[in-house]
Amino acid sequence: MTDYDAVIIGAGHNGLICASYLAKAGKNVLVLDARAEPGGCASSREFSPGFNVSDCAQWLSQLDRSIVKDLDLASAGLNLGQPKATISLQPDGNHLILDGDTISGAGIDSADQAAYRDFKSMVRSFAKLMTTLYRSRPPKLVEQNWTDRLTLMKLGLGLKLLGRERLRDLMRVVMINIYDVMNEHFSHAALKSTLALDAVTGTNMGPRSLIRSTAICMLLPGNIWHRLVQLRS
Amino acid sequence: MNQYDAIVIGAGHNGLTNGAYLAKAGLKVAVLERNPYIGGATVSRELHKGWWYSNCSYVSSLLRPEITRDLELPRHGLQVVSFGGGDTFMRNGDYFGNYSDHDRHYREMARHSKRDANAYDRYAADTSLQTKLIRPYLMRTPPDPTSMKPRDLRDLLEFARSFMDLGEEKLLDTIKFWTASVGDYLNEYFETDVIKAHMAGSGIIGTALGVYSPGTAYVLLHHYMGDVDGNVGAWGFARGGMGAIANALSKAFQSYGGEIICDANVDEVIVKGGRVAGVALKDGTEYKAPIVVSNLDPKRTFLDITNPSDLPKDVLKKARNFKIRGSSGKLNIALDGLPVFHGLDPRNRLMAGDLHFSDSLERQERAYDDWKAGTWSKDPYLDMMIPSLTDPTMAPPGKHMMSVFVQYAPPKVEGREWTDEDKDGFEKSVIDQISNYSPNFRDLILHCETRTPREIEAEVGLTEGNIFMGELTFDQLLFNRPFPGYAQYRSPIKGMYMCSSGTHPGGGVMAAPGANAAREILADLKKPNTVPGGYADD
Repeated sequence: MTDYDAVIIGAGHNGLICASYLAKAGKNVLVLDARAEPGGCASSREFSPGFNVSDCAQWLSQLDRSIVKDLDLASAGLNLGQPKATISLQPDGNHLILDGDTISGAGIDSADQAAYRDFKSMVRSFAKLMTTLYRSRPPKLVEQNWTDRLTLMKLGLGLKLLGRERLRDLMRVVMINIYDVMNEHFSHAALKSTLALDAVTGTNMGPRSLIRSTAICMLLPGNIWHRLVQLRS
Repeated sequence: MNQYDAIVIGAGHNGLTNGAYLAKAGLKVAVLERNPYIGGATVSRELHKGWWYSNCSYVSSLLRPEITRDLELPRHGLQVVSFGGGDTFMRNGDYFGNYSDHDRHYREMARHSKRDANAYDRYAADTSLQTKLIRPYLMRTPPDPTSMKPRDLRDLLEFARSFMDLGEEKLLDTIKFWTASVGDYLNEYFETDVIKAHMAGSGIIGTALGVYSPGTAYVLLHHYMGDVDGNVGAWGFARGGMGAIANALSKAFQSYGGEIICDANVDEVIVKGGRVAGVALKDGTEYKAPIVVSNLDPKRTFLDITNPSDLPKDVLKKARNFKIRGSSGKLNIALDGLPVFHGLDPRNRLMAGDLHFSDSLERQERAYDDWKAGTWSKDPYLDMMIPSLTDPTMAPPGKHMMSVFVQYAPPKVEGREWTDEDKDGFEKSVIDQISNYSPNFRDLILHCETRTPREIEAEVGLTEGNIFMGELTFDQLLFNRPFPGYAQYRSPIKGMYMCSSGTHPGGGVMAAPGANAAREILADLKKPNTVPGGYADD
């Protein structure tokens, strides 16, 4: 049979999720992929007998849990592990360890810990705001319809709920690069570079180059700032 | 006797403008200046007998025409003469001439690339759209997006509406423009290295960023939004050097009864019972006034001359985090005659414009790499002018004055203070570059004043020698300048205000911050406003 309601090109995770929702709605859906196995960047491969490797994407942090629930991925065999600590290896063996809200090792003192807690709490409040947006389509700004208007209103409310000081932080922070953000919050060199790593991974820019406007930040989920927010929250 | 209605700290162009509008409203105003001469970074100095150097700022365009007319600056001796064009000399012996005549400009671009020549009008239209967006806000106080005051809400709504009126597509272009790098922006229009490099220079001047750093497209705009005699985007020389602007402003200020006190080095702002009461000088003299206006940059204002116990904690933190990194230096050179450059007839009028030697974006980015590594650029981007070709008062007959702005020079060299040997090395890298293109240049040098960020900071008082009194990136523009919550010229201390280029709309010899601050002060005093509104563009 070659007659479908929808054909999806590319059996990566987004193609499969899109197809799942369409199929769940009763549509007759075909997903095509150039490779022999589905998965795209989210695939595993036995690269040597008995040894499996995450073929492309190597860690998970951004997967929307509401989708996991919606599509009941657990009963389809998905078993998500516990959050892992980040370890920044130091030449003297006194490694820097970031585990949840605590940091230790590498001469971290209480001032660094307090700065880290403040930073995390700031990032978390911004992440919360952005999460509401990831679940909507990017709103048009001028040629809005009611869906766009609703998204923009949610955004406006979210901004207001941040409170005055947080909003002021946000007005600056979304516009500056990770190099400056790190220097404003921290003095510990290894801590700065460990946190900044997520902001440069996968981009062709250095730590001084990252800057995105609020609007772009909201319109294009998956940008650098988002990366920073999501990977560490 | 030492009692005034208002004291302004710093007789730069913004301090004088602020003082002039306050005095015009009938206030008894004193402007205090640390140096024995006025002007701050808007100054002409005879540092070699017979030669006048605009030894900091060197060209004029941003000075708001509303202020020029309102304070009658031409009557007080100011004449700005625009210069046409500019030139980038190339390593292969050719050059790119940036003619101001449209048809001549087209032919010159087409000589390098027909495609680029055809793209130029589109580029100019798109860029001037951005200019038109920002110009009406230069003479206005930025609204506070976190405020619920009717005035802020009204201004915000108007601000939002001017963006919405662009339509979806142009609005998205605008968002992209305001956050793009100048390199990416130019790459969308042009293919020729030298053409891109010639234009990109305006995106990095005075900025601790590279041509590929996002935010630099706005810096380009900052250099396009001025005008000379209504000719938007044009730049000119003030006759007699940039000091002519400060002199004309000081005469306007004095004509309203204002008083300028030089050699007055402010030690501390005096605060009594949460209100400003005056200032104390380093020599112990005190001046009393219920209004104190700081024309110093935000770091010096809050971390140097204000007692930390008088300030809320968040302001101290914000002032410490204010980005005001030094990134440039300058050479002012007295020449025995006119230098000759490879490939260009010395009689060509391009010689009177801005001259450069960086013929690719890559060379400019490499120059920035040196800055990041904590040293001056070994192959710097130069913005070089020979003002004596336009204004004969700058040098004796037959002789010339050359102003060489140098991008990049770090505030500290590899983390330590500049030494005299560093300064010599910096000077050499500049002289060497010019000599590579001009065989007779070196022999013409009679005197050279070299200014690294160290000299600029020590003499003018700009922290780290940053010419804009704080970087022009979006986290420090509009309602974020100098920092969110304090962009309406009021300090957290009652009666104390800010009027420097560290406030909206930023640096360049614009005088808008000084005027905008005066309008806010007069409103708080419930005095009639003396500051003119902004002109609408055509």
